[in-house]
Amino acid sequence: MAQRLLDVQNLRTHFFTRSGVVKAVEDVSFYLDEGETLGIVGESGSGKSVTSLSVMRLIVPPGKIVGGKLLFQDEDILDMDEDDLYNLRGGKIAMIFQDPMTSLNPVYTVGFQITEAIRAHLKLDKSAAEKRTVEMMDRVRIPEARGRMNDYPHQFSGGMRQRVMIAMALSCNPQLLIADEPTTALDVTIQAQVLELMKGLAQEFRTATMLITHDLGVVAGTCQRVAVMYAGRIVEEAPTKTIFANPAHPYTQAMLTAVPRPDAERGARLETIGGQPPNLVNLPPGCSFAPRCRKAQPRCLRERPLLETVGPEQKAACFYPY
Amino acid sequence: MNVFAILAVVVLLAFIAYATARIGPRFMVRRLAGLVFVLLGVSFIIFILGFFAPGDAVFTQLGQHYTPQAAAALRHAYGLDLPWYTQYLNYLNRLIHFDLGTSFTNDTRTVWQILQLYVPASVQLGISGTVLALIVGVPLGILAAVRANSRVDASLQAVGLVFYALPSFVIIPLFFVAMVSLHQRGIPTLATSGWGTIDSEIAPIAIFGLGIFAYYLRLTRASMLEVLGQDYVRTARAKGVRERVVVWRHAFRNAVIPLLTAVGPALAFAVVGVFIVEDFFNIPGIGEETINAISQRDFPIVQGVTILLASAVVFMNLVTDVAYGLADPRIKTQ
Repeated sequence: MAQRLLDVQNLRTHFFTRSGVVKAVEDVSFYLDEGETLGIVGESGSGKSVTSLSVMRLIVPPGKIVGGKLLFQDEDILDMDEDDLYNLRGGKIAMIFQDPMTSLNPVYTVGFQITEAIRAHLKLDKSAAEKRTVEMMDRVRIPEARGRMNDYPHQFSGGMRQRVMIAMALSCNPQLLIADEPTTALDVTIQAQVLELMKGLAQEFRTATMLITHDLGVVAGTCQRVAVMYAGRIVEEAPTKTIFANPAHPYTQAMLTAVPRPDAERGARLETIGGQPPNLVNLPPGCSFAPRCRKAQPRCLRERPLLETVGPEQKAACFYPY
Repeated sequence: MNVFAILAVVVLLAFIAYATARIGPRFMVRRLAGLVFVLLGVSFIIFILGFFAPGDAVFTQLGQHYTPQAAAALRHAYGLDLPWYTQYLNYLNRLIHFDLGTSFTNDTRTVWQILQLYVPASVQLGISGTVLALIVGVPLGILAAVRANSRVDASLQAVGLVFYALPSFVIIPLFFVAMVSLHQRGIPTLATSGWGTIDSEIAPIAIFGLGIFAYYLRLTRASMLEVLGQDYVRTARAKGVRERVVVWRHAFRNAVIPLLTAVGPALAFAVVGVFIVEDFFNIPGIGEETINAISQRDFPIVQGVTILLASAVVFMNLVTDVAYGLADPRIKTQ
């Protein structure tokens, strides 16, 4: 039995805006074991990124973590002081962001930026840190790493920059890698390469991965378990195989039917989910998905279903699963 | 030529050599050609304005000794009886030979000598004041941005705005009153007039600098706020570097780039901006000299000052361009 690495309990992160309190993440609980890969899927605005930034304590005003526990190796991240957080960020938990075009500082060389991360966490002198930088750039298969160290981000392509981000993230041997839509901004062919690379290196480094994406295809090839988010809450959580074979929540089912299939009949219409996600400032009292749900009953509009076990290793927040 | 002038020329040539290496000879040649056109345009406009301006130097100078014969003789001596295009071409011809002519009102002095006499104080005052404004304004702007929308931010902006809004012709008399009242109580005070000693330079530099620091505060704040919201700042935080390093190394370095745009020309114009301060503190600067020259229709001086200022602006723009290249590796001028 693998050790529990991250245990998120009832996390609530709200944004205090002029137009009201946006409950971006509301009562979210999930866990991650050492070396495990968890996918968090959901559409834009479902709270995936806010969840990951909350784990890093990188939420900036007007956002605020208003409740819950973030146990990382049995220590609550929410109780950590500044120094603990500096050690945590980049050292124990590293993060890769969505847009490699804007995630690297344009005025410093990539070598400098990776070395900076290494020197923040590993007790290495400058030359040893630079040596490790070259080694990491080699590991992410950037050709001629030693020479390219002194290049600036704008001299790299999108895929190469994301490799730089991966090298930077893994350079300090973190226990957890959070990848927030790491391939969304890349070309489809590059997407596969970067995903494979990330997956391979995470295994090599024995790093647990939290992969945030809206792309079910990405989840299928990479993750052991999946949590589906909708309107700031987790609505279903199960092993990847179960999610694809036997989705319990109507939202998960609808998402799966909305995936374009190459083997579909020509001219067949793509299934879509009607309606819009709810306004997170003023959520209806019942199930957030009820207004768009085909199976919704009167009860769904009145009461909110809790995330409950519906099958072996499968949890869903629905009164009428399957 | 004194030591200072030689030093200035050496620095100028060294900079042009460095800039040429940095931005490439073609770009440099284009820049210098641009300078020629700017100077041509400026000299023409200032010449024509002078030509058509009411009143004339001869009339002002002769005053009660005015006779038509004396006026004609003087006009001939200055070359003012020639057609305007001949006058202008003569002027250009002298300009090519770095000869700015001779003052109308003070025949014993060339315009060069007058510039040498009065420009240094204005340049010292303008540059020291701007540097002071930067030293005060930029760090406070960073602080305001880091603490955006807090009480610290609001008070910094409010204080800056008060200084910015108070004209120096209000602050300076108040300062004088304060100095007099301190003096009456036997407390040591700062000089309220003159230039060239430390105790006479502190007050004008401080008053000029504090009057404009709010501009740099607001500029830095806006620039920093923009940069602090960038993804790479989040990346820097996510890799666990200290917040101080995030702010200075990752954010400020990027926020400097738009600041440079403002500072370059501001340094050139500072020399003009100090006029009121010069006037109140009896500083022998070029501002007051120029105003006198304008009222006496002493056009060679007005033209000399204008050309000097135009060159300074063009030069500072070049400095700014080179500085851009240093600050931002994405900008490749070559």
